[in-house]
Amino acid sequence: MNTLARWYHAPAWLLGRWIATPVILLLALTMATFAGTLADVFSLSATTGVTAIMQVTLAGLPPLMAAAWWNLIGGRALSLCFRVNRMRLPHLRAQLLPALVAWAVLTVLLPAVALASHGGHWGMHLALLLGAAALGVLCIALPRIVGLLLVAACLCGGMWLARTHTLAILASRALLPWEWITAMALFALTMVTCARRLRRAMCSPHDAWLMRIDTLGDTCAQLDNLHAASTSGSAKLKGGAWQRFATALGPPWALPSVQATTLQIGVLLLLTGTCVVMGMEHWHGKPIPRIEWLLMLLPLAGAQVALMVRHRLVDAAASLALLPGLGSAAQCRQRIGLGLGRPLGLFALYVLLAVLGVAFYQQLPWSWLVWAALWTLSLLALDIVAGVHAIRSQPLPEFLLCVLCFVIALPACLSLAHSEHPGIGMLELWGVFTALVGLYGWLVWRGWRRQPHPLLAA
Amino acid sequence: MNAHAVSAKPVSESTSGPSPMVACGLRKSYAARSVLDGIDLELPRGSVLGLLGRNGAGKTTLLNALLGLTSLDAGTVQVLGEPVQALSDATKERLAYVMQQPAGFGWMRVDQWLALMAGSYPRWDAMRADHLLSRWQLDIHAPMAQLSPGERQRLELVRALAIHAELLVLDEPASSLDPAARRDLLRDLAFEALDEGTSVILSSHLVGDLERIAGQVALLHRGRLLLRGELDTIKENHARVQLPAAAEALPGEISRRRLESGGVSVVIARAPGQPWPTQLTAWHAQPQPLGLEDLFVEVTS
Repeated sequence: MNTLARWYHAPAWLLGRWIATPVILLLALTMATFAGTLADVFSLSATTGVTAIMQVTLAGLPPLMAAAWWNLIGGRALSLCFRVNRMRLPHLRAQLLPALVAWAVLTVLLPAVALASHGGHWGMHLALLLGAAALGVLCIALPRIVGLLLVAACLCGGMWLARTHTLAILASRALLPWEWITAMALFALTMVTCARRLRRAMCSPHDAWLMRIDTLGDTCAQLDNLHAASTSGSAKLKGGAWQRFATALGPPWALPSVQATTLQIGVLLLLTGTCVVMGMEHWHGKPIPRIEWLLMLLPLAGAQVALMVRHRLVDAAASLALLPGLGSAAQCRQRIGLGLGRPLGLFALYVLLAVLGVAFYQQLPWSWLVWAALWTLSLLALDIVAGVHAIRSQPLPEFLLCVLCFVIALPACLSLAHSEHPGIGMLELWGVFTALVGLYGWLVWRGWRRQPHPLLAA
Repeated sequence: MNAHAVSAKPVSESTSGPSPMVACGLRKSYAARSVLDGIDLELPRGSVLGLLGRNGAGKTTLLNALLGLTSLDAGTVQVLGEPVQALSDATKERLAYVMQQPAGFGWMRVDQWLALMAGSYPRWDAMRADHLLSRWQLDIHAPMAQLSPGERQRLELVRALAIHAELLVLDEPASSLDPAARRDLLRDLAFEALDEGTSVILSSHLVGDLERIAGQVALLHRGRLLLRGELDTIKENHARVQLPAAAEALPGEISRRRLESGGVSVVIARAPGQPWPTQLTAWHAQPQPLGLEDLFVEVTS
């Protein structure tokens, strides 16, 4: 039974039957991030008495989760809506709206009520969650760069408000109208954007608009090189065969140009600067940055990238497996490693530079911060490699282990960002975390080596 | 159903040179369901083998297995002299596979994808690719993700024909083409096989197309190859007879179907040059020649 048939026969109001394992991973990571951060905040507040950190984090995480969830479900709902319209499936179309309403109740209304019972005005929480959910959908529906800028703008605004008002902002009614105006504007923008996207998609034969077709200059340049090499008769391509794999996977794996690299560094610096400046707090008279936000975003970004790699590989695995130039299974494995590893390495370098810059600027314990960043980056890399080797398998145990890693990692990251001398308990936590990352790495490595061919199922 | 009687002639008998594809004892199961049950297949060099089978018979699985794209429970495959699980780049350059529903590379434009292919295959014939692109009216500036399944398959056909492959594996290649384009494709494939010695495996439901170009036919049913051999030989040595319901099994009987009139329709096979079973005279039954489509329907129904 194909995917569409499964959708049609499944109880679509839950919109859940089609959720693949990577999506579950993403959700699990989000939940784990939330749980880990909560654990950290409680431990931190218990030891230092910094209740403001707890309050702000508590206020900021539910919207983050809502945005992440609706980023996921919004894209699927749009795709489903497009398909049922094209396939004339009234049964399923009628179930879509109740499904979305059900999810809205579960992820927006109920959390708002729950949060309001612990403090703050319920309308404020509701507007915050509604706006975050709309933002999550907009990230899918809008062009990537526009979505990124919108998220950055909202993040800046949220962090600035949190810095200036802390939790008091949630209890105050003064900002309530503005909060609702923002939320409604985002909601209306979401509706209009989605409707336009659907209308445009109905005019084209396929839902390519959901695939976010990239035509970055660096990829085109790489393809031009390929073409020039082929027409000049030089079968060997400049830079090695791994580039062919990277090119076939598309951005961000294709060889980046100076322009693209500059853009990536610029975006990263912008985000880091935003975290540092907008989230600055004072603890014992010393300014500290909210760098944990940056580190928290990494695993979520990693899960998204893993999902993208997995989709692209699953779609093109057969073609790539028979494409000349990737060599034997062993060579192919090596080239895939290089093709994936190079942009990952560059990304890791950017993150480390940013973390070091923040640490030196703020005179923070840089070694611990670097360790925290390294561990988070290693998890990100492992996720992506796991996504590659699990083309057709279901490595649920590895995903659960990954979740466990995050539950432990984030308190450690957060605490280290605020403490010069971690206690014995925190060191033990880091020990456990290191062991878990090692175990996860070993599982991924074993799965990777066991496949007869890296692009084919075992 | 008697399968052993139908393999009247070894497939490679009429050919010279090493076979580009040899498969022995292929077995594949999904859960408890056996999809491939001991398939042996040898593709003669320069021939066109038509693979027939009902929906879900396992044709695509067989093609994937032949190219190493799916794991096997048992069996070995040699492609152009190399084990299929360890194909070298030199061998991959000499083969092409057109899937029934090609996917992937959705972020590229058609011209970018063509550039990637041109850079990957040293024998890429740009003129031929351009000719095919214009003949099939493919927009090279269109995003790959916006191509319809038919356009996508045509693009894969362009690749397959532009690299001058020695082995072409085509899974329902003509299903999305209009009659004129289909006729062009079949003519191209016939020229490939005749002029360049390309070996072709062609899976299709369109029996008429297969009859037009396939020199060899293999019929896959319930995981086994029921018929396998030269098309003309198969048609000459298979016939349908109508017998009373009480008629006992005949030598070379392949299938038996009950008729509404109360009798049975039986498909029988004979060895080349041999007479039909003598029992037929006792029933006053006259063997009726079968076309490939009738044979397919009779055997698989």
